[in-house]
Amino acid sequence: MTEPTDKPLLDDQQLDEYLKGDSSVSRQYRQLPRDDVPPSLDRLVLRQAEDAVKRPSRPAWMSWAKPLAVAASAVLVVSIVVETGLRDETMVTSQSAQGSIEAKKIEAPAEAAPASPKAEAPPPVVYVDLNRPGKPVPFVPPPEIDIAPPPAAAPVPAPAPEMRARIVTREPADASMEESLAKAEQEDKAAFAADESREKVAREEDNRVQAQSAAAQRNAEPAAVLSYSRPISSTAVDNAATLKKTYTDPEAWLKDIRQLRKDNKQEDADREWRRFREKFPDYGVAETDAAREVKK
Amino acid sequence: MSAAAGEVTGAVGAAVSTIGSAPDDATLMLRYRKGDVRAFEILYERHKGALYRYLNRLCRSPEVANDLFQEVWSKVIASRERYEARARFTTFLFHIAHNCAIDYFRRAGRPQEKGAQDVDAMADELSGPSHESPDAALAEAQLRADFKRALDELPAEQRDVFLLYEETGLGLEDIGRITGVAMETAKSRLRYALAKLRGALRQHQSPTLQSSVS
Repeated sequence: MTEPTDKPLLDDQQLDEYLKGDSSVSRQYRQLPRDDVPPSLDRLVLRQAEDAVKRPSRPAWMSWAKPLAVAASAVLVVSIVVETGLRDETMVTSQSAQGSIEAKKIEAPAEAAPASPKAEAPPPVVYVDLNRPGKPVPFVPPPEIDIAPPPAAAPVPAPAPEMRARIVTREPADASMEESLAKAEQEDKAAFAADESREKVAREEDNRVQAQSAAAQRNAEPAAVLSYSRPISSTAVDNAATLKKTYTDPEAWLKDIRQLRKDNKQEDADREWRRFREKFPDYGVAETDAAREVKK
Repeated sequence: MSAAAGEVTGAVGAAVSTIGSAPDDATLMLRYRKGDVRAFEILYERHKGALYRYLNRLCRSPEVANDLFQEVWSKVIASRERYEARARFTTFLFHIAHNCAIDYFRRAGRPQEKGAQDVDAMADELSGPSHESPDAALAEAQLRADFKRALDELPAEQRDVFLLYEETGLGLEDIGRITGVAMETAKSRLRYALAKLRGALRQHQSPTLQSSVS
């Protein structure tokens, strides 16, 4: 609001005098006729006050109603979200489980079952891995999983051809079928025998290498003891790692030895060279190779 | 001092009550919140006069003042559950009253500026009980009438601040809080109001009133 400026304003002293309470304006104001509250109005207000107290006030729990409602809604929303997420996860799991089951187990068609005395009992299912030809292994069905079937709209993808298992069912067949089956079994046995012999040779080789490395470790000098009186430097840690390293590739070992020599760590390099020679005594290393121990 | 001091109203009245071992306003209000109707009666007796005069002189209509008076106390009664003794009860009460008056002014349009009433009629209305001479009595009645007219002719904001100061005895800071303005604005409004009222008194300066007006 804009204040009028046509009237002379009070200075601060006059205002202070007024604020102290003893001014002509205040005195004149107090001499104005007293306006009293009508008695009817008094009664009305007092009755209203009394009625308000007599009337039952809002229950205490009502003040908590709003926050409680908000909290309950939040809990409900969170539980719905969590539940929905879990259900989606379960459906995905059940789909994949169903897919894997179907990849392994292809049941024989119902019409192929002949009328034989054994027809009542279901023929044993034999699992043959095409990637590893060998003895047929009886198929052990996975434990039953009580999962709702996947929706029809999401068909289970067919397993890859190379991973598909061939299922052979032992059931009576005609002579040609039996012959071919016997032939196939013989071939499988031969391949299995060849495979076994190859595996045996590889196992012997592995044992030999392991025995050599164990002997080399037993004969090796004790690993450098790190001093804990000072902080472990990164190079020290590297060296310790190098010393403890067990090599299977001689070239990699030689490379590390060369690196040690390059770093002017002749003692470590010599030690490593001796270890190398113990492990790979026949490995051809050029006379001029930097990895070789310097003859003193 | 203001009218509040003499009538056990407002903060000053509350302080006087406390000294006289009577419960203060906040205590009474809290007691009323717990269901003590007697506490409300004491509170009402303390503040009803100042509140009624404030509303009556601000709105310049006894009918409107009656309505607003009832509305203010209804709001006090309704807000008893939420009442906290953070501020003075007087500030709380007159804040409600100020808002009710502002709402009334908004509903009624611009505040009705009463025209100058017949000075003789006002003089009859405001004449004092007894005087030494008829001339002196008439002069004093005219002074009161002119003062009343000057008060009525004040802009509503200035009248509001002046009435709050006279009736409650609150400081300018509290008055600014009640009216929703800064303390300096309240002070400025009070300064303008006082200048106009002093001007009305100066017109009636006479040998007998000379000393009081100055």
